Amino acid sequence: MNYALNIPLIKILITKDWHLQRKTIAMYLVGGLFSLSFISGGEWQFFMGTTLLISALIGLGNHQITSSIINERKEYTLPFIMSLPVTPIDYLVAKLIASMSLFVLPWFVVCAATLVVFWITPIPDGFIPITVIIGIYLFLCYAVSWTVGMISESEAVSIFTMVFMNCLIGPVIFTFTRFSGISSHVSAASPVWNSESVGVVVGQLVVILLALATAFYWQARKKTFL
Amino acid sequence: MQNAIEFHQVCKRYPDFYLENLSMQLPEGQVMGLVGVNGAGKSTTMRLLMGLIQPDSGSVTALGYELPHQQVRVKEQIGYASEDMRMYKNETLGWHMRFIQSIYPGWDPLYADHLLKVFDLKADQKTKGFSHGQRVKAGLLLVLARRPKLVVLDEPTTGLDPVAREEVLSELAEILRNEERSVLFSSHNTQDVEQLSDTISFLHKGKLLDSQDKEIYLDRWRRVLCTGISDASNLSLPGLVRIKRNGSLHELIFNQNPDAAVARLNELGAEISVVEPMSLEKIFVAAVKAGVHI
Amino acid sequence: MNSTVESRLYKSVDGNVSEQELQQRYHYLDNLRALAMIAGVLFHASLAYSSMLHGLWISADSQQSSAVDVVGFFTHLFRMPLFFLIAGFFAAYLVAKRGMGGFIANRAKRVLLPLIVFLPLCLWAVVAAMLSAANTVENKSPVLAMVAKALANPADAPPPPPPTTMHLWFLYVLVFLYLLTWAFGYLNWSSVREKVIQIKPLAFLLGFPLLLMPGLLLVGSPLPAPDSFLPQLWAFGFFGLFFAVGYWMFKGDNLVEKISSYWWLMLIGSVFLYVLYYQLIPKRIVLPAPPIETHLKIVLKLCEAYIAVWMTLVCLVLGKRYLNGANRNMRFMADSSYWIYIIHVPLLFAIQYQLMDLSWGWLTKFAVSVIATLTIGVLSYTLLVRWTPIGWMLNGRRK
Repeated sequence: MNYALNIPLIKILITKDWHLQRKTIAMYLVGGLFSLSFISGGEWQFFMGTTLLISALIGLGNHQITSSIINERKEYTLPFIMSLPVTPIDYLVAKLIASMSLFVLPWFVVCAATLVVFWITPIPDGFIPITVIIGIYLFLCYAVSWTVGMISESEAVSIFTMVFMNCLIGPVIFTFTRFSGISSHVSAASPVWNSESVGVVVGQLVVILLALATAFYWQARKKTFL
Repeated sequence: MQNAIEFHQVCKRYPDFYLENLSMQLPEGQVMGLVGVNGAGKSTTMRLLMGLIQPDSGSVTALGYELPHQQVRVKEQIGYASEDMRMYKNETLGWHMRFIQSIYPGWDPLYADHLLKVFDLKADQKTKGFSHGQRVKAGLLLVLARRPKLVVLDEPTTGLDPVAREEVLSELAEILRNEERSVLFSSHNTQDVEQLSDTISFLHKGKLLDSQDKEIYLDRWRRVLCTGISDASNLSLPGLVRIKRNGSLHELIFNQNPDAAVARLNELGAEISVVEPMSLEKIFVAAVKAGVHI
Repeated sequence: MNSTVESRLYKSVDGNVSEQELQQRYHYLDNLRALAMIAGVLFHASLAYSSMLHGLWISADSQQSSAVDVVGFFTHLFRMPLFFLIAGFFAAYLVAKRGMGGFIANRAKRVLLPLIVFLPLCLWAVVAAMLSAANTVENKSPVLAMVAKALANPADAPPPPPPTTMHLWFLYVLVFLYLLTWAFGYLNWSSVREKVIQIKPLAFLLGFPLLLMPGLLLVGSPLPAPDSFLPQLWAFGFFGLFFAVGYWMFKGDNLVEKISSYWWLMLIGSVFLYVLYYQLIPKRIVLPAPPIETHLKIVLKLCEAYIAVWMTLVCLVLGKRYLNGANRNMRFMADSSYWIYIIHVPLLFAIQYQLMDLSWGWLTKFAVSVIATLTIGVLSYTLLVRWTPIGWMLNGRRK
């Protein structure tokens, strides 16, 4: 493999992906903004808004992986792109940046907005560690689904992974709230970061990095790209 | 003369297919037709050439660059279109043209406009509304207008209606006039290959049966009809590929030195009624059926 | 790589709008926008002498008048709606002139960047002036007294309120509206457009205010400023719809001509409704607001909706009739108003703190604070902004 990246072309591919996904982004932007402003209503609107927001985020991640990675294979636009002066690694880097930028930005806004809500409302700040853990888990779901989408050649496997990872959100919250180091401090006035909560965060970050590294390793070793 | 394409003892094994020791060259400025039935290995050969597949052994070079390692340099100068290639369905052809133009500095806007007219395509139409023929022509437009040094086309005429096929073939013939441009194209339609190619390579079940100048095939292959052969099964003649009996009439097919064969048949007392050259299609079918090296 | 082609690849320009229309400068809208901003300065200056907001406004003076409330809260109902309608109009203008990409880039420079630059500065200036006033002012307002108490006993002090977007909330809301403009641009509006064109002017005047009701019902009366960092749904349902009408106005519907004959009816109707409205709103606002009966709330909200729409349209009709010129003074006001508006709140507070211990009447104090603020605003604009990068950021580079 030739590891000298073709940067100008990677930029073009990223812009192309943003352009192709513009309607998806627009749709989720409207949905996300609606959910976010719904939160401002307080009381039940707060819970509904938050749920809508997390659903929109999960939806955006999955929608994006399906439309930009799986469909590219399924609708045979991948051979078109691979006929351009790119290596499979260039392609992977372009996809990584294009997809991550489209997911990470809204994800970050949602997480930051949630933390701001904790800050400005009477909800105890002790909730912050478990909220951060759930936030990072959403990113982990995305990273794993992205990697499976990139390396698996099957739509079924990719969709199964997305559904499976997202189904685990409930059990993950359940499990982590059973950790005494996390659960015993949720009503504290300020966030408590102890070895358990920090350990879970670090563990999740390691899984995310491993998932992304796997995609690169796999792609570099692929002998048959199409 | 430098070779535009060089395959040297290339092997690639799949669970149900084996490309075996492929060696062939395409000199610069030449047009090579790759002929074979479905599953013969034509697409694999082309993907090897695009660096999309890494060979198990052997080497592939295009325009002087090694594949797949230097695929970026190669692909900057290759125009590749294949049957399984699609454009983004929600974008217009015009968008695709600008997209390709932003990548290839050699894009020729005037030629692109000319092709739009010749192929009767609309730049502002979304590609999802395209018929098969329009899709093929649009793909060809995107390839040709970038003025590539090497054009690689996988089954460009398959499935086209006669009008579209004629448009595509005549435009291909037009670009082939450029002596510096090399072309490799595959087809299972031998007529198209015969019309356009300088060199023809026959692939069958992952093996290269032969790769020669078109004229050489046409010169060497003959079909001979004769009567008066008593023991056809023991007949041993140089270049005899196939023998078929119909009553007292025998059909013999030779793939080399037909004059010598005819002389030898005369010596054996055979009465020759017809000695005729063969079309490429007949040559191909005979070769595949006989399983011989052409 | 060919960058011009690349940039063209993602650009689209609305081909339906004539060049002449694009080149024409809509002077009356520029002027109305500037007046709306100056009216905002006057409104904020007057709040120090409002009896309604005495308990909530930090520079509230011991001198009060309910005349301030009567006039101030009338303009409060249509000042910002008018502003958002004009913002929507110019948004459509920019999209037509520069394409969606150019529009977003332009708005990022003119709206988002000033918000990012000036909000922290304004917050800092307001807090600094407040801390200083808490120590120096004798006749403290209730809020300032609370601040002074909290400073004296930090242990017993309630937690400080979260930061807000203050008077720059309109920039924050505009950023979201511009994003929505981009997003909604992908929808096919042709069928909606055909239906809207058929709406009769009178039906519009009576029907459109009803569309504002869902948004208005989410908040109390008088309308608060949507200055939270958390986007407020009601602000989109209220100001967002004015923005949409403005956008629509550019798209060729000659709304102002169609409704111009109704202007005096709308003006009389609005005044009549405001008399009713003013009777019903609390004379002293306390937080949290006590619950009010549903039917009363609906009446209040209907008044707000109709006054907001009608008075906005009255301003447009009169603006087009009397303010559609392009003289140098008007142009100067249009250009300087953005800067003056951005800096006016910290300035006003700082000036009004100084006036709190004086025994002047409210009108004198009001006049002094307004004149001083506007003078400093105009001088600083002329000296520091107009020909400098700040001016380029706010109004574009002068040729």
